[in-house]
Amino acid sequence: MKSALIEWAAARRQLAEQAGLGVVGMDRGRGVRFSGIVWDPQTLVTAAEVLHGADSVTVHTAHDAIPARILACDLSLDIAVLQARTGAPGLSATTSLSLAAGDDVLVAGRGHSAAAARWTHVEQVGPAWRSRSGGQLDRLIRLSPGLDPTLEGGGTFDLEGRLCAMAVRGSRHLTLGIPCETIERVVSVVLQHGHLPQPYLGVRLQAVRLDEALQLQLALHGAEAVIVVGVEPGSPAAAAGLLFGDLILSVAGQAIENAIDLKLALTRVPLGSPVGVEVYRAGAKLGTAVVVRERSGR
Amino acid sequence: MPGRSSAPPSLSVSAAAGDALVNDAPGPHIPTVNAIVAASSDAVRQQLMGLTHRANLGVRSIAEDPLALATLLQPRRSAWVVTGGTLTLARPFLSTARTARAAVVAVLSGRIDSEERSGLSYRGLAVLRAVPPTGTFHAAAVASRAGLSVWDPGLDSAGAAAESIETPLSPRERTVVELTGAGLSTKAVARQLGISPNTVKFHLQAAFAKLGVASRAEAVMAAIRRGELAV
Repeated sequence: MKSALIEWAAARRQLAEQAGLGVVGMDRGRGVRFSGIVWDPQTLVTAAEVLHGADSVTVHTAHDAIPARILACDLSLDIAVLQARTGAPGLSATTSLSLAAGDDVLVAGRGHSAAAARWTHVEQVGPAWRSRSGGQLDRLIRLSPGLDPTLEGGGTFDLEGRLCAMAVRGSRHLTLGIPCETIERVVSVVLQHGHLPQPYLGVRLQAVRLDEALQLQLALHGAEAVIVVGVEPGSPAAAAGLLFGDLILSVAGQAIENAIDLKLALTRVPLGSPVGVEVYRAGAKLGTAVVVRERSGR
Repeated sequence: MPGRSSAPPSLSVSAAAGDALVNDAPGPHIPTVNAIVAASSDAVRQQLMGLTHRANLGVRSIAEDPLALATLLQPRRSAWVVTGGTLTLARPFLSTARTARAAVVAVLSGRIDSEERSGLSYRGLAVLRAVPPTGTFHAAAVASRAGLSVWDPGLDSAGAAAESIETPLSPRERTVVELTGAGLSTKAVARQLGISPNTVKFHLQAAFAKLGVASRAEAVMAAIRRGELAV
């Protein structure tokens, strides 16, 4: 019996040591410490919100402290992508599909010149969902609450030692796992462009409720819609002739019921080529095309 | 006071005459007077009488005279005073009741700013917005009788809620939120706008307060939802 326990403990320790090789510590000055994941030999990821608008961070490994450049910050997904040569090999096996509610997982990171880790549980696993800040995540992963700030941005590993998610602190003291599929999506875009392109249409919106007659007339499923309350001069929306007072019904065939719908729809359309937009103007449906471009100002 | 507030006071209803002084001496036709309705006008008094009757309170009405109220309150300090109208009109009745340490339910119309509000609060005063539901009135009456203060949030004019919903962002705050949402660092935003990083942080904090949020991601979404930021 005793040997089984010791074997179990040794296996857990070995897993923690292995996971520790794939994570780093980070600080953005003033003693604010958090963790990050070594995605590949040149690329790190961490939580976006914890950076607090920092320009650069210092990365701490077991042997070294090196500067890292922030390549991109996606606040809606809470993912930041950084560039640094850590010398670590990076992670090979990643999947969040293995997770189920109740699983033991290890959250690994790095604190003050020492490895940091915590065994915790997966409390909830669900299908793709939309965060309150308008990000589309591939899977809902909720971990036991109360993540140590040092471990924020750290890796969440399953019992086979595979990276499943990045641990972040969400709103209302929740601890969330950002699935590695979502991270992969962001990292590949950033590595391709050198930054994260922000699609831009140029409309300011407000929510409106439609009465039933209008819902029927427009064949809409819900009563919610967005109305254009401003078109920025020189924007793609202005070029497409969108007007104050237009209801935006769909973009590239995707129904738009609120501002987040539109924001997400724009992230899925190709930049620089025309996409169809359906609006309701002056009592009639109207189809037009917009060329969504990248938000300037970078 | 969970125990008390759960059970509405079971009080007798008595007839209320228009003229308080006529009813001053409690006669057999008015067995108990539990509430005194003081109002600045006949119309307001009618409204308050309706409210107190529905709430099953014994009532005595008084019109337009704080002195008469003082006379009535002197022998019965435990009485409720129900007063109404605008704050300006109800103020003499309120101060009379306060001096007599009577529990008061004030049913006020209009809005009250925070300065007036701080001058108003004292133990045993419940302030409700014009014609509350009977249950609300009951609960407020019980609470004020127990020496608690009750404040109807609907009366706040420039209260916190109104401020966070309605104060628009300044052009600078809007730009700072927009650039932050595009993933720019504080220093990069500062460089682009030709201001210091600390000023950027200041604008961002001001925007957080106006939008009622605590994080950058939430600020961006709140600004988009409010139609302040373009998608």
